Amino acid sequence: MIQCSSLSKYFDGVPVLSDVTLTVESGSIYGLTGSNGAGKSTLMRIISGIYQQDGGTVTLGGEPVWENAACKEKVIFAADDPYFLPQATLEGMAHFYGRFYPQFDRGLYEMLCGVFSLDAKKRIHTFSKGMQRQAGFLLGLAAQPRWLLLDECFDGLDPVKRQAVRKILSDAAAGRGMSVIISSHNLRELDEICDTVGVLHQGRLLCSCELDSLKGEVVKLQAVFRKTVTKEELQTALDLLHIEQKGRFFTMVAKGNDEALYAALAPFEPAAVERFPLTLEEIFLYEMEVEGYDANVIFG
Amino acid sequence: MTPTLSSAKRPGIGTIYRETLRRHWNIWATYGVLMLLLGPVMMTAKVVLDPQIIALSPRMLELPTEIMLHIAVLGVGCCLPLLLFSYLDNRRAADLYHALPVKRGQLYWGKALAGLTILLTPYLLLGGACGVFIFAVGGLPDLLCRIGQIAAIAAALYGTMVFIMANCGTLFESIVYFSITEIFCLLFVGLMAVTLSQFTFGWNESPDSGMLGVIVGFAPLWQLYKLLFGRGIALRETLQMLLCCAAMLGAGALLHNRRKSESAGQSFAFRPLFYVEAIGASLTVGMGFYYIFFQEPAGLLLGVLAGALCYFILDAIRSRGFKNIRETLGVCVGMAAAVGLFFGTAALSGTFGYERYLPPASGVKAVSVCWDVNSEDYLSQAYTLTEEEDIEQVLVFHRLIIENKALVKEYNNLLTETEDPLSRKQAIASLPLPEEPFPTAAGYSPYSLGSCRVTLDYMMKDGRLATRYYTEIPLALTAPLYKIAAGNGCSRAMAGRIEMDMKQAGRTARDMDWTIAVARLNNGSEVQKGTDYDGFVEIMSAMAEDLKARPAGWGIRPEEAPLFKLSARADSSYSYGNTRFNIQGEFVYAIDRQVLTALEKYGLDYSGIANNFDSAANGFGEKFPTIQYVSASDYNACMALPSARGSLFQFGGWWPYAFWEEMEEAGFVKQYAVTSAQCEQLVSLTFNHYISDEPVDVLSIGGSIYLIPRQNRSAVLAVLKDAKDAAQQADDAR
Repeated sequence: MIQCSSLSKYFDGVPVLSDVTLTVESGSIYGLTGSNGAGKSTLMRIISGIYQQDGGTVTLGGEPVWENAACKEKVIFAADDPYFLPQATLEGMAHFYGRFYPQFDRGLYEMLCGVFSLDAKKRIHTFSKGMQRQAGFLLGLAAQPRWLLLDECFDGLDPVKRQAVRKILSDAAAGRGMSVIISSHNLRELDEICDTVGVLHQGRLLCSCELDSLKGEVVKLQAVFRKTVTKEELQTALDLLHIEQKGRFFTMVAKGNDEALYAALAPFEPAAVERFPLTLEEIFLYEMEVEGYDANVIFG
Repeated sequence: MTPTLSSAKRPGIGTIYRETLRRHWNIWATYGVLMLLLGPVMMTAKVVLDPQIIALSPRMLELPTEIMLHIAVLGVGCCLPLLLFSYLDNRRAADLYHALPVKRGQLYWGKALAGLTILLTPYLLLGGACGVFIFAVGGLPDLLCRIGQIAAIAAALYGTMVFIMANCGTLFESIVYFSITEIFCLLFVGLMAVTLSQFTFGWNESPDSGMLGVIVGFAPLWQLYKLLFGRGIALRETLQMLLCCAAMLGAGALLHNRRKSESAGQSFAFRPLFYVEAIGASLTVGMGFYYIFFQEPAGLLLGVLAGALCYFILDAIRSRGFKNIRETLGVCVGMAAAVGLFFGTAALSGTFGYERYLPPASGVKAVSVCWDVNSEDYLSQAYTLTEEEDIEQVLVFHRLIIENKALVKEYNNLLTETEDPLSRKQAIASLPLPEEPFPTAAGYSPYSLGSCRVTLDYMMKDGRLATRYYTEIPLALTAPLYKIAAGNGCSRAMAGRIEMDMKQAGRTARDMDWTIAVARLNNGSEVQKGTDYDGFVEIMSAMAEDLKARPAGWGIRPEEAPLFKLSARADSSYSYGNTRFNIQGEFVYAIDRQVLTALEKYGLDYSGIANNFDSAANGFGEKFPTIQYVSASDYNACMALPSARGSLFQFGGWWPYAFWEEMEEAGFVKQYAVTSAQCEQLVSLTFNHYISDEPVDVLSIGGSIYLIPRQNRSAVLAVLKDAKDAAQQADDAR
């Protein structure tokens, strides 16, 4: 289990992460999303023991990760732009990983090379960016970590490879209880693979919960009321992320379960109420809008 | 699936070490092969080639080989850390290495030790090969020492670069601050020494002595320079290099382990060290500008501006732009204030008590005094005094200098600032006199005798060394030294020096060809005889024994005139230039029977050399030169005094109140045409060398000076009168 408690990090006195608390259970695939510069990569580097946090605690399996070689043996961080030793081949990198990660599985490595169709004898710097990302991913996976941190791992992968990655991750999580944190802006991808998501914005974790629960708690409602109702009245009565009004027709994105929402709308005498499920991308956009981060604000 | 490459042992320092060696095996191999190729060339040059058999000088091979070795030292010592620790400059690479399951300390030491292995293994192999070669063929063991010294310097450079790498965020910064550390720090120490010597009375600016020597002993580039072009480096300095390496690697470990991963690619990981480096560089530049261009107030302003500009540039590089103008201005003002405070305090306190320090007589084991008037290489000429009364007398002299600091400073100011010679002479003559000035003729200021440089090297019983160096000490203050000549400590000191020289020769010049030479006192022409090392030892041992047997104060009185000067030298073109051996000329007297016998045994005929008349007459045939005479009672006259040419105890020669030309213009030089018989008579009445505590008349015959002792003055004047009368009669007849 990965546990971060009240985590904070500063770069040159500027806060990059503030009071971040999250838990990733064993066998869970955690999707981490957020605005650009929100601190996703920094959070993953802290969890993998590369950066040291300035405040709070990070534990992996109950042990602090910083300067803990035993713990770091079981965690792999696959960066969005992975680094390989100069002039190294994939085979050479496999030997390098093998010397440092005792659980490195040569058979798994060879199998993954086949899956990704990568030439192990070729120098990695001649690979395309997508292939380099695949190389980083497969090396990390072959090290059989208990905790795998993937930064933008789906970018640059074709649909077939994506499907393969999804399957490998799901199998590893389900099979040997590997915890995975995937950072991505591709919310549809996260929607498909993750069971838990967290949204980071300006160094703060806006929400961190199971995907199903999140989808159940945030709904889109379209309603028409018999009596005259203002937006302000509805905002007071409901926990709204978004509201639009066209005459007597209201479109709202609200937090809460169905019973509570209908109960809250009842005093306004709704003539008709229709509920629509939201995708993760829509939830993210509405959450960001609440934080003042939406396209309208960006373009003034 | 089963792990096939797994290891039961947790990765650690050994894993990093092996991985680093594996990754850089190509550099290791190339460097090693290069070194092993250079080694035989050097050995061949030093040992096999004999300059007496072939015309090719081994030095021609040896020097390029050594230069290449030194370049290898510089190149590999500096560049290896750039390769090994380059991940600190690259965020992605830092992610990879810092994510590895090893502690930061293990990562650092694994890489640092692997680097040292790459750096030093070729030296070990080369040293081993040389050792085998020397054992089998014979040769110079100093070659092995030299390889060890170069390896120590390489290690020190390597350690420094690793430290800088751990501190800086980028390769560019690493190179810049490595240069600052290695070059500017050395310049800083040198310039500080020059600055201190400007206002510190007695400051010894020689980089090889005292505290300064210890400080610069930690500078690898200085040691490299000394090794290549100087006298080589001592064991202490070699150990200092190793200590420098260890200290730098240790400090680098502290920085590396505390360094944040996110600082990769940023300009500086640890700001305090930036301030140390930048301020040091700025002060160096400031002092450099001040001393190179001006030593006037305008130069001071230029120095301040140059220092500030240097700091601005370094800060702009660090912050990638002029983002810290206010802070930079503050630092510059702070630097100026601190420099002012330091030098102000130093000036008020006599450089923190340095100027007034006089070693306690009971703590002094030996003292070496160099009282140099003309010679530049004074340090190699001084003798070491060990007798209590001689040490006490040197301390009296030293105390006299310290107590007359204001007088000496004023004397120096007048010498340098008064341009008109007459005004200068009058101003100097009006200075107050010390308690017991060196005597001069009635009516003449002791300051007219001129000045000398004085170096005092105290070797303390606790092993410390204390050196004081004074420029332009008026000869008027040197009266206490005259008393040393009256004892026999100086003869023993000379004997000790010869014995020490023989010991050194036994180590470094045993195989060389030796030349024993005896030289005339007045014109230096000499007779030589070649011999081997055993002959050299026999003759010089006899010289040392004679010196020990001389009566106290021998050589002061005119009747104790020396016969000639004895010197010995060894030449070998297959040694380093600085091991060519040379024992300076020593006066030999008629009482020195052992050395005279030894010279005769080796067939060196000194009878012609000891004849002053031959020398005076040499080259003139039947026509004898005009003899010049200067009376001590005339203004600007000359006097004989211990001028210590080349060393304290080689008394002799003369010291004019003014230049000869000046005396001629003033009409104080009287000229006489003499006959051969008169010349021979004059030579028999005069002496080339003795020590007088009062002014004496002198003759100049054929450009050489002959001193006229008081008791012979009337006889010399009578001969000159005869010459003058004869010349007058000849004129009248015409």
